Amino acid sequence: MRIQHAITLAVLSLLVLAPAANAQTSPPLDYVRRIQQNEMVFVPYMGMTRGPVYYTKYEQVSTGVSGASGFRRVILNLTPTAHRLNQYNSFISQNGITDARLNAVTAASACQPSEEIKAMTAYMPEAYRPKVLAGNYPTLCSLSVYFLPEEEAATMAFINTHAVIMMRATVPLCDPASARLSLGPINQRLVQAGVLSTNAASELVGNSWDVLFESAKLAQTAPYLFVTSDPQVGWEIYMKSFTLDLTAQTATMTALTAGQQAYICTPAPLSLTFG
Amino acid sequence: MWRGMWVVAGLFGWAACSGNEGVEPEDPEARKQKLRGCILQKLPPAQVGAEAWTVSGYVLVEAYARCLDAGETSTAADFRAVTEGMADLQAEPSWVRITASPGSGG
Repeated sequence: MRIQHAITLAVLSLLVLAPAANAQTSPPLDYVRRIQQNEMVFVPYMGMTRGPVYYTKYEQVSTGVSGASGFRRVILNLTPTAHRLNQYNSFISQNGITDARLNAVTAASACQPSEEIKAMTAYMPEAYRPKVLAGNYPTLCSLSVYFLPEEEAATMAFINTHAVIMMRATVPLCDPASARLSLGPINQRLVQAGVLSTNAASELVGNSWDVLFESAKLAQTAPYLFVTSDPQVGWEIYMKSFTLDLTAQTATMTALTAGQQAYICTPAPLSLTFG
Repeated sequence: MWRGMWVVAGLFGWAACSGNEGVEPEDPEARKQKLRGCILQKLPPAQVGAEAWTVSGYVLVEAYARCLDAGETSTAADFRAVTEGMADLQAEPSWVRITASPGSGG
């Protein structure tokens, strides 16, 4: 029976699925060092001067009318006002920060054409109705609007005086006063248990499944290490400090992260609106 | 006559002992399937029609521990052996993707 069990385990171990790519997630943000100025909010990654810049004021910028498929077409970009006013460059240089150049939200989830522009171009064939396009940072999203040549003057007059892109989005940030989880004592327990070890780059590395299992068990047996009243919350924050390699099945925590505290987030979302 | 009775008595004795020769170790595959069925019953439900869904890794470990028989010790190796093929890791390290439907036992 033991031999059968061993063979079963051996076969199972050979059947490990190998996902296509290594997984990468963004490093955690350090909300205490958040900088807010001229409708721009910068939140650095933990231990870095690099991080995403969020914008709380946008404007609709026309790229000009062109001919397309026998119709006329205009592309409108939703662009941060701070970029047009040249406030962005001084914000970056004065604070000595590096922009991670990421859009806070996806265009499809945040942007849509206004009801007015949809009604105004309702005469167009289905394929030429106003359509939201993905943005290219710092442009959050774009809107493609087709119209007939004879409607150009009226349509552009309307577009130039009205917001025809409607944008509603929420960026899930945390209150800087949020409680923090010390990673060190948990790491220490997992190193002692042989689950994590330090590699040549001073990173903590372990088998992903072992880290997941043993840290979850630790959260159940020593919940005080995970700070929160519900140890699951603290455990999930702890696990987010790792980067997983799905192919090698390893979990890695950088030396930088291991020396930090992780936020137990009290939500302080940033609302973005336009139109 | 006496000889025949001894034979019958012997057969009864053998039959009685053969079903009681200590606790037969459970077949590992059967145990795994039983545990998987139990774990799936304890996980948050999938959306109707979903082929896979994600749950917190913490919840998966907790469900596994609750499904073990009294006296069984939870270990990382056993946890992995039981959940392999029914749960995949995700880029988000605290979540796992469950690929087995409830009731399938894996």
